[in-house]
This record gives sequence, C-alpha cells and structure tokens, in this order.
Amino acid sequence: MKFNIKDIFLLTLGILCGVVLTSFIITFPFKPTLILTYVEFQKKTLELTQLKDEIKSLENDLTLLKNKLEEYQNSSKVNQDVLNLMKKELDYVKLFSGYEDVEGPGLKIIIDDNRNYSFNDDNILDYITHNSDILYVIFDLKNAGAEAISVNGKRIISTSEITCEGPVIKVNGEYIVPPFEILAIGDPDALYFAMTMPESKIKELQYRQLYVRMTKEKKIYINGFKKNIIPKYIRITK
Amino acid sequence: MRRVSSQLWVGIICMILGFMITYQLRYIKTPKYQYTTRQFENLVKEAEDLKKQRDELQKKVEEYQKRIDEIEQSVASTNKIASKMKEELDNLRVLAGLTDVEGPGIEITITPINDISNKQPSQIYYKDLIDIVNELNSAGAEAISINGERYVGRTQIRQAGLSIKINDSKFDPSQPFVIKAIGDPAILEGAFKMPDSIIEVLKKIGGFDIKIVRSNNIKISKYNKLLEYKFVKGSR
Repeated sequence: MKFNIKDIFLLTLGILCGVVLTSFIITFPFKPTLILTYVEFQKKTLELTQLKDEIKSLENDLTLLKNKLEEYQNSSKVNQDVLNLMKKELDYVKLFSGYEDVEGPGLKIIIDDNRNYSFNDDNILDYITHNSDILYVIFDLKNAGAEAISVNGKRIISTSEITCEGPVIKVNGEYIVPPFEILAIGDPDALYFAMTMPESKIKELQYRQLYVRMTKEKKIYINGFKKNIIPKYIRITK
Repeated sequence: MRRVSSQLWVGIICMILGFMITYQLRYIKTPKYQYTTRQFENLVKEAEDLKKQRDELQKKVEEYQKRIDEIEQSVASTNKIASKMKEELDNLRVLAGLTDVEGPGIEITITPINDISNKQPSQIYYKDLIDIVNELNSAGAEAISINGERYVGRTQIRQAGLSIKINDSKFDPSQPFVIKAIGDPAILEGAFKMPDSIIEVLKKIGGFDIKIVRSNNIKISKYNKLLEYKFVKGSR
C-alpha cells in the first residue's frame, strides 16, 4: 500500500475530529445540569441571605419587645411607663414616616433653569430642569445616606411622586416651580462628596449649564409631611 | 476529479474543526461554577433550618406583641391620652411601612432574557426601578415592594458593583424582579400604558419578559431592617 501525504493529513484530521467530538460528548451532557445547579445555587444563597436578614431583624424585634414587656411588668406605675414608652415609639415612627419636622446638619442645593439661551438653540430642552432630574438628585442624596429630604418645602416620604405637569413639576400632589431648593439632612461632607462624583446627576446638570449651587449647612430645618393620608386600599394583614 | 473531492473533504472537516474550536473556546470563556451536590444539599438543609428558626422567632414576636398590646390596650381604655396615642401610632405605622399590609393592586414581573437570540446581555438598571416606583407613586400606590423589600421614605435603590442594592439587600440585575403595589389596580396598570412610560421603553429596548398582573389580594410585608438616625433631630 502506498500512502501519500494527503491521506495521512486526512487521517490525522479525522482522529483530531474524533477526539474533539468525544470530548464534546463527554462534557456536553453535564453542561445543562451544571447551569441548572448554578442558577439554583444562586437562588438558594440569595434565599439564605434573605432568611438570615429576616432572622436578624426578628431577633432585634424580639429583644425590643422583651425589654418593653419587662419594663411594663416590673414597674409599679404601669400607666406612666406605658405612656412614656408609647411616646418614645411614636417619636421614632414619626421620624421614620417623615411626618415630623426635623433639623440637623446637611446640604442645601439650589437648581435653576438656564435662562441665557437663544430661541434657535437646539439644546433648549437641556436648559430646563425636568422632573426626572429632581428625582435622580433625590435618589443620589438618599443613596448617600440622607436621612430627611425636601424639595421646595415638600417632604419626600414613601408615597412621594415627582411628576412632570407641562411647565411645572408636581411633588406630593402640589405644584412647584423653579428655582428648586433641595434640602437634605445627613453627613454634609458625605452628601457633598456624592454630589460631586462624576456619575452624579448634579454633575450632569452642571454640564448642561443649569444653575446649581450647593452649600454645606450646620443646621437645616426640614418640615414634616403635612397632609393627612387616609389609606383607601391597604388593610393590615392579620 | 478525485483531487477536487478530497480537497472538498479537507475543507469541510477544517470548517467543522474551526467551528468546534470556537465553540469550545466560547464554552471555556463563559464562567463555570462547579458545586458538588453535597454543597448544595448542605445549603438546602441550612435554608430549612433557618426557616424553622425564623418561624419560631416569628411566633415568639407575635406572642410578645400580643401581650404588650394587651397591656397597652388596658392602659388605653382607662387613659384618654394613651388611647389617642395608640391610635396615632397604629395609623402612622401603616403609612410608614412598619406593618404587613394587603389589598388590591398589581404585580409587575420583569425577567431579563439572556439567551442566544440576544446580542447583548439584558439586565435591569437601578434607574429603571426608580422610575417604576415613581410612576407607581404618581398613580396613587399606597404601598410598594421590590423583591420583597418594602419601599419606605429612606429606601435606597442603587448600583453596588455588579448588583443592585435595595434597602441594603443585594440583587442580581440579570434575575427577575418582582414589584408589587397596592392601590387601584386599573389606575396602577394604566400608568404604564403611556408610550413614554418606563415599561413601554423597556419593551421597546427588548430583552425583557414583562408581565403585569392585577390582583385583589396583594400582600406586602413590612420594612424589616433597622434604620439609624445619626444626624436628624426632631424639632419643635
């Protein structure tokens, strides 16, 4: 028999192909299960961390309640103690819900539209403060650890919306117009630093040539949420 | 003739080989995580243990709450100030997100689709979530939660490395997000029908499976972390 170089080449190629194919066949059936377990694994670990969080907060609740109960049971003048404790709790809940007037150190931001424009400028929309600008500035502040925020005197709480109503902006169902004064209580340096980060909304506004002024304040006064909401749809789960 | 056919064969085999090599390379490039079944079993077991522990704790907390409620109720029934305070406390707790609540509303599920049909990986950005919360609030939502995290006044929604942090819990942005809101279901759903709304924008970008389901019984659990106030002081 006579081999020429082409046949040998074909043979080696064939063998190589075979090796690759078999290695595929060996690894391939395991691949789907691997991926599946990975996703499941991820889900389980997520569930675990959530469970751990829940347990932590429950343990916290429990110690709080235990202390409370002990105080109630060990006191000779239950009435006064219950009143005091309830008062303390009410103060915290008021702080938490944003219904209380508060004060503390923080950051004051004033944002105004850029009024130096010509009518045939294409970027005219960039010179206006939009509702989304205010929204993201507020979240930048919150994410930097602000404890209380208000926009033109409207306190930001869990149900606060910031919507565009044509020429004006609506917050908490009330209209506000520029200039916008955003007040935030928190660590003034941390808040200021977060606002000057390259990816912050404030930086973008400055780039868009809006009027932005930030001042760190030792004492800021923020009034509480004033409207009385009566929930129509939510019920307490028993 | 023979020359041509053998060349053709070599060509075909080379093509197959090339395809396999690239496939193999791609397969190697995608991150592989190998977990033994035992590790996974341990996880499952741990989760079960933790669940049991949580249930027990929940029962205990409920019991204590009940006893405290009884004492407070008895004081409230004899004391006018106390009864007023208790009422205010209960009301504020509901509004602030410190109680488990239920009611009619909608449930939005956004699932990023990451398969071969996508050219680029699809994932949710924290700004999308902020927009959704804002639109729900403008549609009059009374309670909102994202992946079980209750939205309260100080809720942070931010990018933290590769994950999204909500109330300090980390979530993978390529996994489904479930947003629940209590309010008028028709109005809540209608808010997302506007052509410029965030849901419509996400649909246009593509790569997401978005479901909005109305329900008469949406359950939202309370805020479950402890918030510290370091700088704020009440003023009067």
